[in-house]
Amino acid sequence: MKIIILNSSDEPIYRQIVRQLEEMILKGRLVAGDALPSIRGLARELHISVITTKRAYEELEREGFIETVPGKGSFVAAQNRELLREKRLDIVEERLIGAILAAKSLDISQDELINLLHQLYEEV
Amino acid sequence: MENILEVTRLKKSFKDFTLKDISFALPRGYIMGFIGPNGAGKSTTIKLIMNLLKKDGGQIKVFDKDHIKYEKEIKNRIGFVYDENHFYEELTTREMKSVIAPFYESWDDKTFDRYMKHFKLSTNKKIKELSKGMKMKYSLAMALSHNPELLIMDEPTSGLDPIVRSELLDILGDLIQDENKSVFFSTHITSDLDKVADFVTFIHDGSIILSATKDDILDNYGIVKGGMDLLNDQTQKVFIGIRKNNYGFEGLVDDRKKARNLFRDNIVIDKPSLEDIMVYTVRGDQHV
Amino acid sequence: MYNLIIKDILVQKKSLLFALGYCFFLVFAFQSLEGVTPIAASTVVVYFLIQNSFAYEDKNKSEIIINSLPISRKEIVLAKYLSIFVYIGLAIVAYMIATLTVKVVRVPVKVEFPDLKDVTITLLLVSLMNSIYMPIIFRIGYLKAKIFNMVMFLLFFFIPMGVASLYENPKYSAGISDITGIISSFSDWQIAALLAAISLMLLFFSYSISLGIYKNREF
Repeated sequence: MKIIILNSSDEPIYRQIVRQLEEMILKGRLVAGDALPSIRGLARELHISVITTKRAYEELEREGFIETVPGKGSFVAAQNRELLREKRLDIVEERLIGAILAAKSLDISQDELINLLHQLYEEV
Repeated sequence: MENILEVTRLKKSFKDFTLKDISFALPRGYIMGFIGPNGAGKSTTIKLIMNLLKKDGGQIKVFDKDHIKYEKEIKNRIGFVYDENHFYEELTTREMKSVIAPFYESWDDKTFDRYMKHFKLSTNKKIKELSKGMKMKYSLAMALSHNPELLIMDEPTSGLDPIVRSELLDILGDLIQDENKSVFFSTHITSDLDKVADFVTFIHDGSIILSATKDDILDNYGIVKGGMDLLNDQTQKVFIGIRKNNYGFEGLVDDRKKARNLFRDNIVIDKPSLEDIMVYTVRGDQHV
Repeated sequence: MYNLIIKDILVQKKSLLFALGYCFFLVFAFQSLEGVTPIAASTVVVYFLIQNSFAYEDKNKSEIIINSLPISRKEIVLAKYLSIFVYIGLAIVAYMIATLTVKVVRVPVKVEFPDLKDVTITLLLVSLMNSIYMPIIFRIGYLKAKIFNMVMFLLFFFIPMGVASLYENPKYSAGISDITGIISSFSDWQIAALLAAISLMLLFFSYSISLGIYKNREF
């Protein structure tokens, strides 16, 4: 596991942790049930405030990436295969909505758009 | 969150200095840095907490208990490190330990030995033969050997080289692995806090300027840089402190978003360090 | 609180040896002063040890450490007063060791063991002295009180001598012999008990003053 903190970055430190852990989970480097370092342990290792790591973990928890079992620690959440799919779909959906809006404004029909999608999917 | 240390409207007057109704709280499990320039009231506050000075008003609660009513019980659970050596210089480190140890209910010689070893301190050296850095480490070993819940330190890093200071910060990090423990320490070397502190309380001229989590402070404060044409009586008001030169200005604001809304894209905003915040606040009025 | 008394002794290990040496010195130096050597020796040793224990605390401002420990200020003051008795004991032991050694090795010096009278007079003198200077030290600290203490210590040496010279003056000797007559009508134990009671009262009174002072002391 690798977490790199840039003090000079504009991104708050807790966001840097959230982003890097999210990436590891999305890319499958961390899988469901994997234990994460403790909030206090991570703070010590990274030489940052306990409040910062705590905030990062709380955010990851809210997004459903991790779970915290009191007294045991934090783990990569079990349901996250579903969640991952959803997350990934979210990204695609967002782009597609953009494409649809563009198509609508140019009076391109649904069939035409679907054909275009089929064509492009084969080509790319 | 339970507060391990709670200071409310604390007052103390001397001939030439007054601590003006200061309030702050440190939750259990965290490190609070107490910063401010020399003479701001840091030592006075710590001495009041330890009841070495008598307060004129206000309340101090440690472990949720009045610090005078439960003085003995509280002090049994506090470790202290002061900026100067107050131990008996002619005694060896071991002799001094034997003098202090019996006063604590839960003193543990094994813990003491472990710290002495960790700090590479000799047990049969006289205290006066120790270097400044070694004296601080010795004080720390003495402060931690009764397994205190709250460690109070007054300027522990002043006069120490960066290596020893970083060692000290590592130890604080280790200590705080136990979520029941807290550290309260004063310093004028703010870079010690940039890393390890969870909370920062900033005192200046006997008043608390701010007391918040370090993350909140660093997320909200900003150093705004721009051209002199942006400044007028109205816009200057957003700055806590400002520094002008021939090519433009740099000023500290406590609300980055507000500054951005005000100046739009005509400025750049830099992340401040705690030192920036301290320096701009203290020198602020002279430069506006 | 007992830890505080033990602390003062631990810190003064070397001073105890010095006290013993001092007793030897007095045994030789005061051999001409009949009857007062044990009293003088013990009083000086107690004075020295108490002052020294305050001096150690003043150095490096160790009082800051003491007052940061889990002990009440009352215990700190009380311990100092109780240590007076410990030091009287130590002083007498030191003096006994000195006299015994002189006797055993048959040094041709006249020596006396301390008796009941010596012990009670020592107690009275030491109590009187400490009752006056302890509140002062608790108020202003050892260093500032030092000169005052020295002056007082010397007075304690000269006043008895003055009294002794009065005794020889025929103008007063009748009155003094009346007093001594009354005193001698009591048994030694009665006098000892009376002196001890006066000493304790003095100490208690002084302790109350010191406590009031020290409770509000700032460091």
